[in-house]
Amino acid sequence: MIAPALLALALAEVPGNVPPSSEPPPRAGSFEIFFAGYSPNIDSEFHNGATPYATTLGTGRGFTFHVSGAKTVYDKWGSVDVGVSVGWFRDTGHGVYAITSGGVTAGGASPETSSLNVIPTAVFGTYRFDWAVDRYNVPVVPYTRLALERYNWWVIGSGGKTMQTGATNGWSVGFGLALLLDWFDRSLSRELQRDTGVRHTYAFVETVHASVNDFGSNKSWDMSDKQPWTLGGGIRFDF
Amino acid sequence: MLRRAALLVSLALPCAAAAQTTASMSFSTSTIDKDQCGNASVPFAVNFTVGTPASFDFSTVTFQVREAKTSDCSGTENSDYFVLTGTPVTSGATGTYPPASVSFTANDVTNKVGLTCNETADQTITFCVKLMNGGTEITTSGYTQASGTVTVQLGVPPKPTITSIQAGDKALFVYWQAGTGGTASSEKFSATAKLNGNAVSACPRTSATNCRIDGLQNGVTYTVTVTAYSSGGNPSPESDPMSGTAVPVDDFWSLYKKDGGREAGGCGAGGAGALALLGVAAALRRVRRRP
Repeated sequence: MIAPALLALALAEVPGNVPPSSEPPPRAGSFEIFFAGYSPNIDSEFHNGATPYATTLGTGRGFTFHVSGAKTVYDKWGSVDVGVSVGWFRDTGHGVYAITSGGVTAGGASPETSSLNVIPTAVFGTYRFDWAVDRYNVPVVPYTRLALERYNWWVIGSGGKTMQTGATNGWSVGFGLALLLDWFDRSLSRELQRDTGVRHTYAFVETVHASVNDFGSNKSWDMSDKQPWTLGGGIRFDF
Repeated sequence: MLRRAALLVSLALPCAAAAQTTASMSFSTSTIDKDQCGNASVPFAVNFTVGTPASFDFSTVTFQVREAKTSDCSGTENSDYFVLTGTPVTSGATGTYPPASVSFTANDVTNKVGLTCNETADQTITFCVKLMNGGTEITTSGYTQASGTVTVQLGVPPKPTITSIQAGDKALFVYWQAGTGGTASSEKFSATAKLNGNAVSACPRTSATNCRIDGLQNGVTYTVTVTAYSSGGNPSPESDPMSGTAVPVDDFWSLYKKDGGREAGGCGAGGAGALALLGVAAALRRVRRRP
C-alpha cells in the first residue's frame, strides 16, 4: 500500500511534534487543470498492417488538457469528490493520394490537411487521503480516481470539410500524488484563501489507464491512449 | 464598367474657444484604383460645429465641400471646382451632413483636379471643406479649412511567377512569388484555374504566396495563372500559366474506412457517458439539499 507509506514519509518531514489543529471547516469542492500526453490507439484494430492514423496524422504523441470541477460529498477520513471534466485534443496531418495520376503516386502525401478533433468529457469520483493536511500539516496527498469517459470527436478532411462525427464511451482509473503548495508559503496561502476562497493549492502528478472503446464494442474504434498508463500532471484548487 | 468606392468625409469642429470654429477632415476609404479614376462615385458625410462670431448673418452661411485639387487648400481654386454639398449653419450649431456622394469622370479628374488617369505614379486629390457666406469663403481668423485626400493609384504591380502547383482533392494548391519591378507593390494575389481559356474557379485574394483553388474536378487538368494586386486594387499582368491536375485524396477518415475500420460514427454504444452525467447531477442535487 503506497498511501500509508507516503503519509509516513510526509509526517517524518514535519519538524517537531505538531499537535492536531482544531477540526477544519468542511470542504466545498475543487477545480483542476490537467495536462497529459495522448495518442489515440486507433490503428490497433487493424491486423493487416494498415495504419490509417499514422499514415495521415503521424506517429507523434500529442497533448491533451482537461479542466474539471468537483463537489465534495464526503470529508471525514479523507475526502470524496464527484465532478465533471472537459478537455481538448487535436491531431493534424495530411491526406494521401488515392490514385496514381497527374504526376502523383497513390499513397503519397498530399497538401490536403486532415485532422482528428476530440473533446473528452468525463464524470468522475475521486478519493483523496487528505485527512492529515489540515490536522497534521502533511503536504502530500495520495488519491485515486474513477471516471466514466465520453470522447466526442469529429474528423476534418480535404478543404476543411467535416467527414464524420461521433462519440466513444469508456472508463478510466487513475492514481496520483498531490503536493500541497501552501506548505511552501503559508502567508500567501492565507491571503489567497481570504481573497478568493481557495483553501488549498496542489500540484499533482497522475497516471491514468483509460479504456475508451465503447466498452469493447466491435463497432467502435479504440480512443484509448496508446500507452497503457498515461502520465500527466496539473494544478488543483480546493475550496 | 461603373465601379463604386466608398469615401467618408468627416468634418469635426471642436470649439477650442467659444467664438472659434475649427475643422478637420478624414477619409475612411483613402485609395481607389485606376479603373475608378475615370468613373467613381464616392459617398461621404460631414460633421460640424460652428462658433459664434458676431459679424456674420448666419442665414447665408454654409459648409461646402468646395474644391478638389492636387495640393492643399491654401492655393488658388480651380475654376471648375466641385461644389459637393452645402447646408445653412447657425451660430453654435452642430450636426452631420446627410450621407451624400460625388461622382466624377476622367474628364472631371483632368479638368477639375488637373490630373490624367493615364499616368503611372499614384495621384492625390485633395478635397477641401470651406465655410462659405454666399459665394464667398469666410476667411476671418478663427475659421480653419478642413481637408482630406484620396489617392488614385495608377501604378500596377509586377507580374508574379508561379513556382509550383500540387494536386488536391477537387482542388489545386498553387505556390508563387511576387515579381520585381512594376509601378506599384504587390499587396495581394489571386490564382485562377482555367479550362479551355475560361476561368473555372479562383481562390480569394490573399496576401500569402500560396492558395488552394477548390471547386474543380478530379482528373481534369487546368491551366493556372496568378495575378497580383496593388493596395488600390490595380491588377498586374497575369503570370505565365502552369498546369495542374486535381486528384482524389484520402483524408484520415476516408483512409480509415478504406482500410476496413469498424467505427461508423454516431453517439457510441450504451450512452454511458450521458447516463453518468445525469447520475452525478442527481447526486449533487441530493448533496445540496442535505441540511
